[in-house]
Formats: sequence, C-alpha cells, structure tokens
Amino acid sequence: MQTLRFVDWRAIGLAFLLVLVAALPLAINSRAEAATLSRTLVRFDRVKTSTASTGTVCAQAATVATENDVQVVFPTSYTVSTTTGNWTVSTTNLAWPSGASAWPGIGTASAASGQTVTFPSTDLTVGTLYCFNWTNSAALSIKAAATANNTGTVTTRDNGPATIDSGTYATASISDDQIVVTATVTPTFSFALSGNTDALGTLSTSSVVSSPTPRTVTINTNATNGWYAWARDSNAGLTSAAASKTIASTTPGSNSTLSTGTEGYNTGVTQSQTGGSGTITVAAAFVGGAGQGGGLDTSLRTLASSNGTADNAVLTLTNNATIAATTPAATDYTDTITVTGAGLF
Amino acid sequence: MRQSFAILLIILMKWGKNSALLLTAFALLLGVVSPIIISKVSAQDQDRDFSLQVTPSPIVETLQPGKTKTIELRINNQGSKAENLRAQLRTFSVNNGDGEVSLGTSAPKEVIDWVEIQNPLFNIKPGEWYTQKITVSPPEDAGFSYSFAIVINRANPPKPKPGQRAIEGSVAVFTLLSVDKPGAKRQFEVLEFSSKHRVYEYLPAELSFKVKNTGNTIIQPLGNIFIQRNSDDATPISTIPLNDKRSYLLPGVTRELNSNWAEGFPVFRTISGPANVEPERKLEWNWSDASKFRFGKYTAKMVAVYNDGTRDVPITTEVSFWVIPWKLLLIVFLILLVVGFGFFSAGRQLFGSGKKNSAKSSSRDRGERA
Repeated sequence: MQTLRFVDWRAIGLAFLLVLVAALPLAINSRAEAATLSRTLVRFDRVKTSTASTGTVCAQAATVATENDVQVVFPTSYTVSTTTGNWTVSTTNLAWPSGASAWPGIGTASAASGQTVTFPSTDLTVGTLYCFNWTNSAALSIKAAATANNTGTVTTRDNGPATIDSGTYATASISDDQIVVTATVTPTFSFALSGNTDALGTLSTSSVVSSPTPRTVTINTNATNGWYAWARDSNAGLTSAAASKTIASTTPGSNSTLSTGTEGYNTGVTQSQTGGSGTITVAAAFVGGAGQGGGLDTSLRTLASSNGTADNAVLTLTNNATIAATTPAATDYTDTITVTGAGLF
Repeated sequence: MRQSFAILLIILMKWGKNSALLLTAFALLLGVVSPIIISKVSAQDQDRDFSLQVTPSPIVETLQPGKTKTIELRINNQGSKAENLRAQLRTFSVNNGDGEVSLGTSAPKEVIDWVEIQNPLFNIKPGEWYTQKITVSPPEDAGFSYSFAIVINRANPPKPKPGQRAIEGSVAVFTLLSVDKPGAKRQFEVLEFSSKHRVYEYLPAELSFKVKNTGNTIIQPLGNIFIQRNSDDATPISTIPLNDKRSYLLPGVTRELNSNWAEGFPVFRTISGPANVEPERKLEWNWSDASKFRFGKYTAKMVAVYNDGTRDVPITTEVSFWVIPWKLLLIVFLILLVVGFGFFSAGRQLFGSGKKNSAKSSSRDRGERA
C-alpha cells in the first residue's frame, strides 16, 4: 500500500510539470512575442549572378501594433550597400501583387549594415499587403554564385525598437550561360548537293530501278539548334508529256516499298555524319532501303533534321521507280526535285 | 534504242517472209519489259554540283518601328562553277505538337511591303563571298515580331531534258525580327518539367521542359537547373544551364528543350557510330571524378527567367529522380557475401577443429585416467 501511494504522488507531480511546460509558450506569446508576417515577398528585378538590381519589398502585417520601421535582411553573399543614400525608394505600383497598397511612411533607408537595411515606416493595418520599391541599382548586387535557395527576412518593428512581425523569403540567383568570347563566331550553314541530275535509266516491270549514283546533300553548320532539310517534286511523280502520263509518287507523306510490276515512284534517304553535336533523324516517311522511301509531291516535305551542330552530315537520296505492264512507253518521263536546307533557330 | 531498231531492220531484210512473225515477237518483248528510257549520257553533260555557305544563319534582329535597318547576309559559293542565284522571301511555320518546322512556298504577306532584298538576282564566282543586303523598314504600326525565311537558289536552273530527272538545291535562312515598341509582351509559361526516367542506373539524367511563348514577341528562355538533395538546400550539387542552345521561341509556339545532368561517376557517354547505326552508349570510368559517385534521390529545381522589359521574372518548378547503380551495388553485395562466407567458413573450421581437438584430448585424458 505504501508503495502505491508513493507512485501516485510521483505521477501527479510529473503531470503538473508537463502542464506547466505546455502552458509556457502560451504565457510567452501573451507577452506580445513576434508573430509571422501573413505574407512576405522580396522580388529582385534582376536575378543574374553579380548583377546590380533594384526590387520590391511587400509584407502583410499580422499583429496589431504601431510600426516604426521595417528591416530587410538580404541573403548571404548578396552585396548590400551600406550607404543609406543608395537605398532610395518609391511606391509606384510596378506589377505588384494584386491588391497591394503603397507602404505608408516609407522613405530612404535610415540604416544599412551588413545584410540588413532599415527603412522608416508608419503604422500598418493588419490584413493589408503593403509594398515599396528600392529604385537605385547601386544599392544591391546579386551574389556571384548561382543557387536556388537564397533566403532572407523582412521584420517590422515598433519604436522600441521591438520586433512586431517577421517573415522569411527565398529567391534564386542564376548564371547567364552566354559564352563570353573575345571574338564573335557567327552562325553559319553550308549546303552542298553533289549533282543535279539522276538518271534512272530504263524502267522495268520486272525490277525496281534505283538511282545508279544516288545524289548526296552534305551539311555543315555550327548552328547549335541543328538543321532541317526539305524536298518537293515539281510534278509529284515522273511525267511524260508525250504519253500524257505521270508515274505518280507513291503515297506522299508515308513510307512505302515498291513492288515489281506495280507502278510506283519514291525517294529514300539514308544518313551519315563525321562529327557534330547533333543527331540526325530521317523523317519516318523517307527512311530508305531497297525500293523503300517516301513519295514527294509539290509541297515541301521534311526529309531529315538534326538537333545540333553538323560536321559533314550527309543525306543520300536514292530514287526508286517501277512500272506496270500497262505503263505507256515514252522516253520523256521527267521531274525536278528541289532539296532545301536551313540552320535552325 | 537506235541499236535495237537497226538490229530489227537487218533481221527484217534477211528473213523477209517471216518478218511479220518476228515483228510480233519483238512487240511482245517490248510489252513485257515496257522499257521507258531515261537518258544517261546527256545527264552527265550538264551535271554539276551546288554548294553554298550562308552566314549568319539564322538572322535575329530587333527593330525600331518607323526606322530602317539594313541586314547583311553573306553568301559563299563553295561550288566549282559560277552561280546565278536568286533570293526570295518565303513563309515558314512551327508545329506546336512535335515542333516540326515547315517551309512554305509563298511570300510572307505581312512583311513583303517593308522587307526588301536589294539584289534579288546576283552572281557569285566559285570561292567568292557575296554580301546580300536586306533593307527592313517596319512601319510605325508594325506589330511585335515577324519571322520568315530567305530562300536562295539558282536563278535559272537547267530544265531537265526529256527522260532526265533533275535535282535542285536551295538554302533557306530563317529570319526572326522583333519590333521593340511599347506593348511588347515577353513572357512564357512552363507547361512541363520532367525527367525522362524516374530511376537512372548512372548519369546522365535527362531532363526536359516544355515551354510556351505566351507573349507577343520572340523570346529566349534562360535560367538554371539546380541539382540538389532536397528542394530547399542552400547549395546545389550541380548547376546546369537551361536552354544552353539558346533556342528562340516564336509567339504562341510551344517548344521542348532538353538538358542533361552528366556530372557523375561512372557516366554514360554517347558515341556516334557509323552511318545509319544507332549511337552507342558507353559507360565511362573517369577515376578523377570518383568523388562524383551518385546514389539516392535527387531533386532538379528549375529556375527559368524571362525579362518582361523591366525586370526578370523567375518561374520555379522541380522534379525528383533516383540514381541507383544497382548492378554495382549487387556486385559489391556479392563480394561482401563471398568474403563474409569465407570468414564464416574459416572461423567455423578454426573453432570447429579446436573443439574437435579439445574433444579428442579430453577423451584421451579420460582414457588415460581410466
């Protein structure tokens, strides 16, 4: 029995202590300890590393009190001018958040030390978002390193000065990836077509005839976004004026393999490249092979493209044709294919 | 063909009576083969190369409304013969779905009145450079951006002779013009930021972001991708540039841009193979980068920025992925297992034989006592 009584007293004492500990923060808060600002925003007009920047500070008070000043702590490694005269301000609405009002009593900084700049203020109304801009880029410069989470604080104070509300903000600094060079290298594009005829010879019902010497397009470019090559056919097929007949291009826009004895005409493309950052992609419709390719018509169709620079990117254009037993004989079947290349942007 | 007819004539003269039969046989042969002759000899006669170099390509310029600007396009004839060339303006468009660029065959109506090629017909000798001047005079009420292509081809391409197929070359130069005037709206929207895979065995991690130009002028998105362990880390592990190719975005156009995080050990390198062979991925073990061994969860935090004319407007988004070198880990695990088993066996043998020996000696002792 005695043991039980001893344990009871100890448990009661422990419970009392816990209640005290739990109540302690409430007691401290009731002594008007700093609250968190309802909204905090510091926007830098430039975020590029080592760049001078103007910007905007916005805050929404959470505590009823009479503000006397506002302190802005800028992120570590940001270069903050300690010359208060550089911290001039304005209350012009420069694309402020919706519903924001001009910060009352704001003026040129009254103190600037380390990362902290103090601006004068008058009383803020709880629930209203107030903003001001610092207008002189000599006041601040973005840090030299590119980082994603650069944090700082905005604190409102009374004339004690004691903290009323405080809030944190985060920003990023980015590096400009522009290559700094002492000489200018302009983007160039070169295009070479190996010849301007393609003699298919005698077409036959018993075989698919292909270009005996396929023509090549060679592309060289330093255009980092790559290049495109298109082609079109003046007649959308091989046309004979004498026979009033066109051996039509086979299903323009889709890939096909010609069959002997069935009239057809297409262009197949294969590729190679010595070097460069680009990967060549032959358009699905024009992937070449034995009798394989795509039909060309009068609209410019994409033959191939690349997503980077090219050192001797070569497209080999092989034309394939076959005829049916009923295809009229003539010696003037002809067409003109135009191949165009361009460096991308 | 002429030879065939000559042979036929000789046969007809020699065989006289049976000529009708022979003629029929010949006609049948013709019917089966259906020869359609496309000349070879004459094709070689007029065959020649076409080789041009142009710079700059593309042309990107900013204009002031109501002010004339002259743009220079330099053209080099790298072919073996002099070329009579023609330069023309042509439309082009970009497909929002797959980003395919389509070149048009008509003149761009919106600029035709104020973009003038000074010498649309010109001649260049082999090896020579020619400077083509393009005068651009945007009117006061000109809009905010214009884009077209300058297409250069032969002025009088030789017409194919009957039976020939002709191939003509031409070069297009994309021209992007922005008009700097009040109301120009530079802004974009990030539609998607993603990693190609959720889990990588080794780097590179392939990141892509789809961005749409929601403004009315040509823009170049810039920024960084910060590779971090956690979203709110103060110092990134790596910082990689966004849009390192400096791609341009036309108004209303969506474009997918890609970046790779390749600072790892080991790392896959892509090696281009011979013609028509898929590039090969090879694992590279550069021991000086051993400190860059990657394992675990990473967050790629993208901060893309556009300047709206007065300030940088950052857009932040992030994506997470894992790097798990599972094969390497499996090998290490197996090695540890083997080593562990080895120690276990050795220990067992050592203690086992000890026990045995002591058991033997105790029995001997017992025997001796007995």
